[in-house]
Amino acid sequence: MVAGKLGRMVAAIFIVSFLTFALAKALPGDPALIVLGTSSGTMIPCATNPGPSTANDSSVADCRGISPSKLHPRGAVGPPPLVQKCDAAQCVLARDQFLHQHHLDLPIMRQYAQWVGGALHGDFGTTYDAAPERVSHQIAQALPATIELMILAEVVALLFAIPLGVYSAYRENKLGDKVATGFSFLALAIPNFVLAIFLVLFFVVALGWLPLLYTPWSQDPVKNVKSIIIPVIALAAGTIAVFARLLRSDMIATLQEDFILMARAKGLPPMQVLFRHALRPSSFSLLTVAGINLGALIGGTVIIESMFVVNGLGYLLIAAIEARNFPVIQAVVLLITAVFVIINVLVDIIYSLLDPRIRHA
Amino acid sequence: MPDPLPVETDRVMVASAGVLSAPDPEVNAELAADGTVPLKKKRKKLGFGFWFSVIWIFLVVFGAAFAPWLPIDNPNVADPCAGVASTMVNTGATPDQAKLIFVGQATSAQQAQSLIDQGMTVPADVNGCKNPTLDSRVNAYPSATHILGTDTSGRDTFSRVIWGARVAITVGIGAIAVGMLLGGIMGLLAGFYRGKPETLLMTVADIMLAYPALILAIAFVAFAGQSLLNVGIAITIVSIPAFARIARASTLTYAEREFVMAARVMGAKNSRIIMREIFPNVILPVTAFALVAVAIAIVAEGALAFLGLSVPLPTSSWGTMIHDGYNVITDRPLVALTPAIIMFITVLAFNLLGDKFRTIFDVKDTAL
Repeated sequence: MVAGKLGRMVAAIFIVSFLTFALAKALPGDPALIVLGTSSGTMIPCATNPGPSTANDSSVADCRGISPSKLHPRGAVGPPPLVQKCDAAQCVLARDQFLHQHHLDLPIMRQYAQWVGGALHGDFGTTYDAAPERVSHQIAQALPATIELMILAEVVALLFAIPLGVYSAYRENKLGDKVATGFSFLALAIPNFVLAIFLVLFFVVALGWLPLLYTPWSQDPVKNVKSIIIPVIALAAGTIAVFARLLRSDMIATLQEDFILMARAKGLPPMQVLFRHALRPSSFSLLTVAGINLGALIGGTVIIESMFVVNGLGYLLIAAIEARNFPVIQAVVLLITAVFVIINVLVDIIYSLLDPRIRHA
Repeated sequence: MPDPLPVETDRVMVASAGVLSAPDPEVNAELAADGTVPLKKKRKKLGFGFWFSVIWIFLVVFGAAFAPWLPIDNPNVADPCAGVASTMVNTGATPDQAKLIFVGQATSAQQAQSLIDQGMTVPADVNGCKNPTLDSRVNAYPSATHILGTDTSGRDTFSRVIWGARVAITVGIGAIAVGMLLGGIMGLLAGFYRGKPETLLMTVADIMLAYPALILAIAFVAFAGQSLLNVGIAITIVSIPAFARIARASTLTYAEREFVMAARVMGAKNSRIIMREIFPNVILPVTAFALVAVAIAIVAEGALAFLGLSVPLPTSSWGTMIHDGYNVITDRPLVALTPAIIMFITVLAFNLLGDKFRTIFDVKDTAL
């Protein structure tokens, strides 16, 4: 059974990799020309032209001149910046060099095979920058911040949600439970970036307790901890609500069981009954959702990272989209999706190992 | 306490027969006769939250629908006095002095005043601005001229909020309606016919769910280009698998029920069973989820816009407004706070409606 699940997981990742690749290829236009026409950072130099050098002004053309419609991607605002003047022949040559350098001159299926083959070795090719960098290197630099944010958000969510859920179940339909329900509803409804705005206004602008921008751990651990409080709360709030509601409903069911009655009859203190006897059998679906949520958090970090300038995967993704740095976009999307799929399958497997009822079903 | 569940489900059966309205008192009386507890339709008041949500959503939809005809400022053009008013703030000049500074006749308030004293005429109309006041400057606080203040470029926040609602509502309701239709049909067919079609459709849904939703939407818009249509398509794609799963789960439960058997025995065709027996039951949980999904879609559009990936500038969107305001959040909190609050209330209102809908029609949470 585990083998079947792993097989499906591998299949899913391959399909996802193909779709991600196809999505990038389906884009109308020539990536080389798009890159040639965009911001200076992703400019490739004019090719040194072996042909007749025509330096006089009338023949000098900006590379955009080749195909203006293709060079101006839909949705871009304003005229593309005039970066460098090459003559037409140089432009064609530069384009060819660019395509060759990034293996874009190969047939599509070979490009895909090469890309996937590289990805399996952790090699995602090189960026489209003028001085190409390894994509895997950029990703490795971005990972720690994202992982820190995700893990902390998950831990904070569990730390708050477990007592809250247990309390709500214990005081079912009493005032405390109703207040908790109301707050859960609000926390679920509020978008994380809107909550982040409220938190920034309160803790940064009004009280001045916390810094606005993120500081990496390697730079200053104390500042790092202070700067990560708001992003973590903004990410965790909705999760706390989901976890607490889930634990509450499972716990209410568990509290009806005979062994709880037995424990109570023995005269055990409520805390011990709740946390020692009732919590464990109530926490299976919480565990599942906590696992799946870890994957979902990756998506949520994108916006939080760009708000607080956290140099993580999400920030890298958005920067790459702005610069139209396709290898980076493809790699980040594939990586995030693969992790998401793997986590889901792992949770599935762990769940069936934990709960005998599922294993034997 | 006797379990009210059977009564409850019987009522849903009534709904399936075409009476989709509030429970019929006669039905309750009948059920009481056979010994079960009659479903006393607790005349539970809908409450403040419900009516507030309905009114708020009505206002937002009204504003979104009629934005071009409402007597509001152009959302994409700065107040004509924004420049002069900002000069007034920066130099501490009076309106007349500021006009002179703005047109380049003077560089400071004193110099402008001495020019006026020397008899220089102050232009009555500077770029369409006649009587500049501080209410017109960029990042202005709410005032009679701009009831929600102005943004970082001196544009009217109130009118941008209304035009932003246009984007939010178009994407929210439009994308979710299409997603509900496509996903609903997928789930209904998969749950009814089972077998190969089910495997195929659900595999497609599972692959779509393999992408984290926001990442898929971001990737789609990044590759396909920014436009209202593409944002809508992205959100539709993300929403389809969720609708398919809900529709399938509840189709599965109803397809086995006695009234479906009865219809089949009476010789009803598959198409009739789907449309007349199953669809009216499946539509309830799907609609309950759709209301929440509209809220999620509005958030997703806002997130894309915040990342600069929604409708192209200068079209206003709540996410774009929040992003613009976020850049000046330490100096002028209101610029980001206003659209953030509007978005929050709208999202909350849709969530509340979805929740109420669930309670009223007693929709059980189906496996998501």
